Amino acid sequence: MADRAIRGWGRRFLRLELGVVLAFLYLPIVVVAGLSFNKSGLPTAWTGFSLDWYASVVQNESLLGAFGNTLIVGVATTIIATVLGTLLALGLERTVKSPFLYTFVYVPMIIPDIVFAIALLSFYNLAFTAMLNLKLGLWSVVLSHVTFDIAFVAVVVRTRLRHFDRSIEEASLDLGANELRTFWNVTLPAILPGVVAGALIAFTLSFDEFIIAFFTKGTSETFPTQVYSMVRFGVTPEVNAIATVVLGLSITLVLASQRIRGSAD
Amino acid sequence: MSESIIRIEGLTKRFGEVAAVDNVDLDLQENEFFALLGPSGCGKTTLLRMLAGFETPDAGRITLDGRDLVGVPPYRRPLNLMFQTYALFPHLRVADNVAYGLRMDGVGKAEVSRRVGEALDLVRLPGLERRRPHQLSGGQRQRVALARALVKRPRVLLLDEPLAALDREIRLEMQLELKRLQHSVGITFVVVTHDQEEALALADRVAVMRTGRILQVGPVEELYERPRALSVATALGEANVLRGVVEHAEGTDTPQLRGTSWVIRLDRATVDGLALRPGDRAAIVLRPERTVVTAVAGGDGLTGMGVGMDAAAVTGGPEAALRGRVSETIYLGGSHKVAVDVADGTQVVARVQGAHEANLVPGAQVTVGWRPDGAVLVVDDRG
Repeated sequence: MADRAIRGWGRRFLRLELGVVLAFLYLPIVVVAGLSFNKSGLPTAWTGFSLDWYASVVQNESLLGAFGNTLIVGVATTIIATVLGTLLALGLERTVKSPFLYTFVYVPMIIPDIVFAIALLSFYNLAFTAMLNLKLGLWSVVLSHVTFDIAFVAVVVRTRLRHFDRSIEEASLDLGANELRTFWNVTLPAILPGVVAGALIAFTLSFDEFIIAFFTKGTSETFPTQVYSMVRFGVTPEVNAIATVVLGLSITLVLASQRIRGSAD
Repeated sequence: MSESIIRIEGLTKRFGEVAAVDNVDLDLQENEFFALLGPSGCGKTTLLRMLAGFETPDAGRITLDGRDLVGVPPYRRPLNLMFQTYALFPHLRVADNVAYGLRMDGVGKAEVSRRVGEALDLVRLPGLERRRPHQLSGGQRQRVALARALVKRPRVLLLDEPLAALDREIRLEMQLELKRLQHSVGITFVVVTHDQEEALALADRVAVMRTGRILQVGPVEELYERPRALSVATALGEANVLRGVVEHAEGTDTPQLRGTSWVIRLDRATVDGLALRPGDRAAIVLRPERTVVTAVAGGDGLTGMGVGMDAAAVTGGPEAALRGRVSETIYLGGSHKVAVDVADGTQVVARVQGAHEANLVPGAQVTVGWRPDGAVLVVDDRG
């Protein structure tokens, strides 16, 4: 009944609005993807279809190296943050029921990245560089990404835990499984969709994270910092090709995570 | 009497200031169907959870076959619990749900599948092995939960409100099913329920619980026929209650119960048996099927309203009578339920066959009486 209330002009206006929003969102992306196949590499003229720019990306070793670094950072961050975030969610949901503590745990999600980056860099300089004489590198990027990813994983897993019927854990204990086996056999399968969704979010956030990586990477490069250094002198057609590849990966991941969430409910 | 299997002594559990279970003593016997009956919040579930090992007592002991259970984790106790919500593992198929306990015990593959098959046959649910819990009906889920709890052949099966989640029709079917199961497996069943019908239908022995304490334990028939306290009488079955104060008849030491408009002579041995003293509050309990309502010829029944002093003995005396007026009759199929307002305002309900032939129609003047063993004197513990 609610949609019937909107008729005629109102309805047409809303449709137009939807079209404008979608165009605004996706037109730039379509343009980038299109240009990545443009032979001339110029944004002004279409001179024919070509995969040259993709070939040149594949031959760009510093870019490939940075991409590899980002995968390493992303995977390491995801594993560590997912384990710690899941444990954090369990702890928050089942032991210390303090709203004050919740807020503290989730603050990294809302602190502006630039502030967080500066704070981490100052801290690392003090703790690692000055006191332990360690050089910042990929490991410090991982540490930084884990720091904020834990909160995101914890939020997602906790939602899942909220709707969790604890009597199935008791049933497992009652049937002869100790706490550890109960966790593996019953708790984890039940919250797995939440854990996987949390892991996907953690990976996505780490993958394209720029500011914090830029501050804490030492002399290493991640994919975003490498692309940034490439575009300082203008967007090259190579960058368009990279953007298109990453876009393809992101869409795949999003669809995958929606399928997982959908099948869980 | 058969062997005692579980012995509970002085068991106490507090949540903050409140004692959910308060100094409970209880013996459970081999191969009996036992019910813990009480309203929600009376501590029966807490007691059950202490048996299963999910709550730790603050004081007291639970022994099973002479072995102290306190401190033993749930997964090492030879008893299993059927949860009120069934708590089936949603990600496992029916067969894997039932097999779970056996696998945790490291039982071999072939034996697991044989015993799972047996358990599903036992609960009359073969052919659904590959279904998942959400594909089952409520009744089927309960059967799976039963099979899962029974497959390990526990010493004791605990059932938390086993029938509460079922529709009426399936509930009646499952009552019989549970009785049959208990007989065929020969395991002690302990059911926790707030539903007196369920307790009456299922149990051999019942403990009536209230505010953390057990008021009375005994065979169902005994609790129904000879309750010691008013709370017990009203917890099991329908009861007419005549409340009053114990006193001695003037100039004698014969005990009697004085209500606002009546006096009933009491049997001294019964009064002494309940440790009642003059001034104590007590009540007479009449079961509807043993209550006799007789129309008074001439309709002079209520002329002495407020002084209807028909005396009667509770036990062993002649047929007793109180005066009143029929307020309502309800046809139950085969018999009538006749509600009578007694002079002091108490309502008494009798189950009567042939109510109309006996002129028991609304407005009729009647006397309410009972057969010699039809009334029970109880301690009035309801403040």
